[in-house]
Amino acid sequence: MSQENKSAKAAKEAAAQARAEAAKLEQGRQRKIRLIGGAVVVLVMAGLIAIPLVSGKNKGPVTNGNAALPAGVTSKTYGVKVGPAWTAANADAIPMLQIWEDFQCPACGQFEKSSGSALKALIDAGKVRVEYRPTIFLDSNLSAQNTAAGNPNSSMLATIAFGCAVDAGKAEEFHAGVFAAQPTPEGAGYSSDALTAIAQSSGITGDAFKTWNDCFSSNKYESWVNNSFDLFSKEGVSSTPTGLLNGTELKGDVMFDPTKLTAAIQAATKS
Amino acid sequence: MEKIIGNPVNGLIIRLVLAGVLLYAGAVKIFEPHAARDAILAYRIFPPSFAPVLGYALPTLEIGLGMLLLLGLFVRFAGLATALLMFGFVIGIASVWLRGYSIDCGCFGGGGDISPQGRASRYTLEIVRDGIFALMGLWLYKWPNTPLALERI
Repeated sequence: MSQENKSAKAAKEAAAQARAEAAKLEQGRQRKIRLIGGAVVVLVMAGLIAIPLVSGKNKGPVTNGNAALPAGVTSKTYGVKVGPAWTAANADAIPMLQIWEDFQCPACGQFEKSSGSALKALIDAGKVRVEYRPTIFLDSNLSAQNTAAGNPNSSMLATIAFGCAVDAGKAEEFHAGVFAAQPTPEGAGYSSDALTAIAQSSGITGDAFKTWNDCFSSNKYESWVNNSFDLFSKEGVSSTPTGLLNGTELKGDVMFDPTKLTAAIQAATKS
Repeated sequence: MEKIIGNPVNGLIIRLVLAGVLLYAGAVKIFEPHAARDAILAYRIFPPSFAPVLGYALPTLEIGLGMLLLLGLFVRFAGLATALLMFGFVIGIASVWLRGYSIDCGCFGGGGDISPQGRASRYTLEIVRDGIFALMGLWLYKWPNTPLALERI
């Protein structure tokens, strides 16, 4: 065994040891990076959850038991019932269609355009009990666009105006008028002037218009709208328009197809 | 073959693209929890009481995964989680389509029911897009070692 061989072996061992140490060091560094980085990511995620909870942006409306209600509206549903079928002798046998809508929702405008006239025919003939259930969730979704267009809280405003038109006995006319005048692009909103013009073209004139104007400009039905919106959240309505035929949700292709919608309503009629 | 397909520069591009998509999708949703909730409700998959929680949880998860991918930490795990999330979106959209609803996927904010016009092409596009994102996540699961990452595997 020569001296040379011995020293070569020692050098080899030393190098291996150095490598192992370096690997160990790198391993420790990696562990530290993962630990700190992971902690930072978790902290940011926790902060993101906390911000909206603290800022209170998630708070929904609160039901006001003393809210003034438009004519014929009850605190059970806060909906607007239209057509002669509600007061028919055999009202219970006539299908009930509840429609959740936001006046700013483009799909609701689309629904009115495609199925509105077929539905109106059924309403007028007393073949369906339609209840419009207003919601205003788009006011928060579209707040930036609404504000930029100078029409903040547009759904709220339009729904208050709708409530005042209900008092004037022009619910259907005003309802149709608002959707016919729905602004494009979505989010441009309704101005007070536009809603006033719709009220007039709905046939609210003379003293009735004065009453409507007082009602509208004093935001008389703001609490009613909030109460209806509260039910929208509580009942877990997914979106608008949502049609509930005798309590069962209608599929989108039925809602938007006047033929299918008419057939569905006819099928739900008890003989 | 392994050299081309597992090329670390490809991995870097995939990592950063997925990070950008997730961070953007999470950011637009986290500031509109109401909209996110409504978007989730429109899928009619989860019970309504779950939606408000998911409306916070989903964007938070997206931002968390996006940060991990951006920093290059736990890339293997984040890639797999992203793939599963995207696969979930694909299933969600396909299920909504099959059940005949017409919704805005709410992928990058927005959401809710919309007009059925152009539904097939819109859904197809969204499914293909999320499917590609899922494959990108799986890529990172298979080849998690990418340049400019904090961790070395």
